Amino acid sequence: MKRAMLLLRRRAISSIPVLLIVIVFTFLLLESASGDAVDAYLVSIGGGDAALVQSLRQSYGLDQGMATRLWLYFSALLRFDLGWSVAFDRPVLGLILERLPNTLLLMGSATALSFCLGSLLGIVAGARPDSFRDRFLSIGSLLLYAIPGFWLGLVLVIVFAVNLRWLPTSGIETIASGKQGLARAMDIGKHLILPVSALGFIYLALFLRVMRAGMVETWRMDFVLFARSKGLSRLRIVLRHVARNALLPLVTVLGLQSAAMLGGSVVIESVFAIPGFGRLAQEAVNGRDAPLLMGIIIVSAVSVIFVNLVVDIAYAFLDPRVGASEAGA
Amino acid sequence: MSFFTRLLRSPEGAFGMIILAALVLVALLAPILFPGDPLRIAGPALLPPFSDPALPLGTDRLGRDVLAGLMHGARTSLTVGIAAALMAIVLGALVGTAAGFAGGLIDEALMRVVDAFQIVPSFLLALAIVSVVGPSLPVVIAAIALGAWADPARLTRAQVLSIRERDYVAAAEVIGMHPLEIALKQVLPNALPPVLALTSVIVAAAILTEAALSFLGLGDPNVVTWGSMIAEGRNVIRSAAFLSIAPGLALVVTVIGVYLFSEALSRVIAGGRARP
Repeated sequence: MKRAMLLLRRRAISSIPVLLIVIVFTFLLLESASGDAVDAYLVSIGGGDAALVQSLRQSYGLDQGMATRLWLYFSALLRFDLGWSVAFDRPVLGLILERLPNTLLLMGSATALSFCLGSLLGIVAGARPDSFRDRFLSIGSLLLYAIPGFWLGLVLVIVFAVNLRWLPTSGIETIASGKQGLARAMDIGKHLILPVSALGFIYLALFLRVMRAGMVETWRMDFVLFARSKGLSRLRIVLRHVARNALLPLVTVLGLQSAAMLGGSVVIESVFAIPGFGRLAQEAVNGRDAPLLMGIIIVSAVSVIFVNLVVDIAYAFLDPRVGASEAGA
Repeated sequence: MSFFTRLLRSPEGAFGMIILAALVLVALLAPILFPGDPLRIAGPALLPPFSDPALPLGTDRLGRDVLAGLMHGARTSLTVGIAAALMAIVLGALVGTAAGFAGGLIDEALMRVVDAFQIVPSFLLALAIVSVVGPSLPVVIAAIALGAWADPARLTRAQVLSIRERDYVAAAEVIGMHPLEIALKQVLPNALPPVLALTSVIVAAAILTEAALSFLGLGDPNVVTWGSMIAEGRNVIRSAAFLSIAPGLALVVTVIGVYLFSEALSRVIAGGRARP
C-alpha cells in the first residue's frame, strides 16, 4: 500500500509540468487563430457597431496583452473555472461535465468489450503459436485494425439500422419517450450497441496482438518448460502459466490507449449523433468557440493523466517489482 | 541477400508491396487517366455503378465521377500519410537525439514536452490545429505530424542513451573525435533503424487520421479525399450506400498494405530472426 502511494505521489507531481505545457501550448495555438470569439459571436448575431465590439472584448478580457491573458487563464483554472463558452453562452466546465457521462459510458463499454474479447482471442491465438487458428486470428486482427472507426460505424448503420432495422441509427436514447428506470436503461443500451461495437472492435485488435505477442514470449520461459516437464495439462499451462504472465502488458496498453480512444470518440459520436464530449469538440470547432476547445483539450489531458495514474497503481498491485525501489528509499 | 529480396520473401512483405505498388501506380496515373478537376460535374447525379461505361463506378449526389474521385483520393491519402510520417520521424529523431545527448535539464525539459504531446489525444490536437489555422493540405499534414512525433522522439532518445555507452563510442572519444562528429557519424546511424521501422505504422495512422478529419469536414476543401467522399455519401446512405462504402474499402486496403509492409520490414530490420 505504501509502495503504491509513493508511486502515485511521484507520478502525480511529475505530471504537473506536463499539464502546464499543455495549457501554454493550447493557449498559444488559439492565440494564433485569426479572429476571436467576439468575431464569431458577431457573425452569429449578424454584426454590430464598434462600441459593442469594444465592450464585448473588454468583458471577455480580450483587449489585454498576451501575458496578462495567459495569467488570467491560469489563475481561473486554479479555481476550476474553464471560462465561458461563446457558442453556448454557458460556463465551459458545466457543458463538459454535462457531456462527459455519455462519453464515459461509450468509452467504458467499448474498452470493456475490446479488452475482454481481445484478450480472450489473444489467448486462443497464443495458445498454439503459428497454428492455423493463430494465423487466422492474426490476419483478422490486422484487418480490423486497418478499418477506420467512423466507416465501420457507417457500415454497421447500413446493415443493422437501415437494412435490417434492428437497431436505432443514432442518438443516445429515444427522444421524449418518457421511459423511466429499467426501460430507459434498456433504451440507452440499445442505442449504444452500434457505436460501442464500432469503437470497441477497432481496439480489440490491439489487445489481441499484445496478448498474443506476450504469450509467444512467455512460451520460451524456463518455468513453462518446467510446468511441461511436470506433466501439467496443456490447458492448465496455457491459462495458469502463460496467459497469466502475458496479461500484465495489457494493463499498460489500456492506459496508453485511453488518449486514442478519447480522440476516436469524436468521430464515432459524430457518426451516431451522441451528445458527448467528442461531439462537443466538433461543435466547438464549428462555432469557433476557443474557450470551449481549450477546455476540452485540458479536460482530456487531465483525464488521460488520471487514467494512467490508475493504471500505474493497478500495475503496482499486480506486479510486486514495480515501485519497490521507491518504497525502499 | 539484398534488403528488398528479403522483404519480398515473406508472404506479408510481398502482399504489402503489391498493394502499395498498385496504389502508387493509381496515384500516379490519376491525373493522366482522369485529367481535370475530379470535383467537377461529370454526368447525371446518383448514377448507379456499372451502368455507364464512361462512368464505370457511377456518380455521387452532385454528379461527380466516383472512380475519378477514388483515384485522385489515393494521391491525397498517400501524400498526407507519407509527408506527415516523414515530418514526425525527422522531428522526433531530432528532439530525441538532442535530449539523449544533452542530458540533464535540457533532456528533462524536452521529455516533458514529449509527454505533453503524448497526453493530448492526437486526433483532438489535429482537430484544434486545423480548425484554428484553416483547412489546407500542408496544415493537415503538419497537424497530423505534431500528434505523431512523440513516439519516435522517445524511441530515438532511448536508442541514443544505450548506444552512447558502447565501447566504440568510448574509443572514438579516446582518439579525439569531435563530440558532434561522434553524435552524427557514430551514434545516430546505429540509433535510427528501429526508429525508421516506426515510419510505416505512422503512415497508416496518418492516413486514418486524415480520413477522419476530412470526414468531419476539416480536410482541404479543394482536394478529393476518401474521408470527404464517405461524408458526402453519408447524405444518401439509405438510397446509395455504395457511395460511402467504396472509399472506405479503398482506405482499408491501403492501410492493410501499409501494415503488411511494416510487419515484414520490422522483421527484416530485426535481423531476419526466425519467426517466434
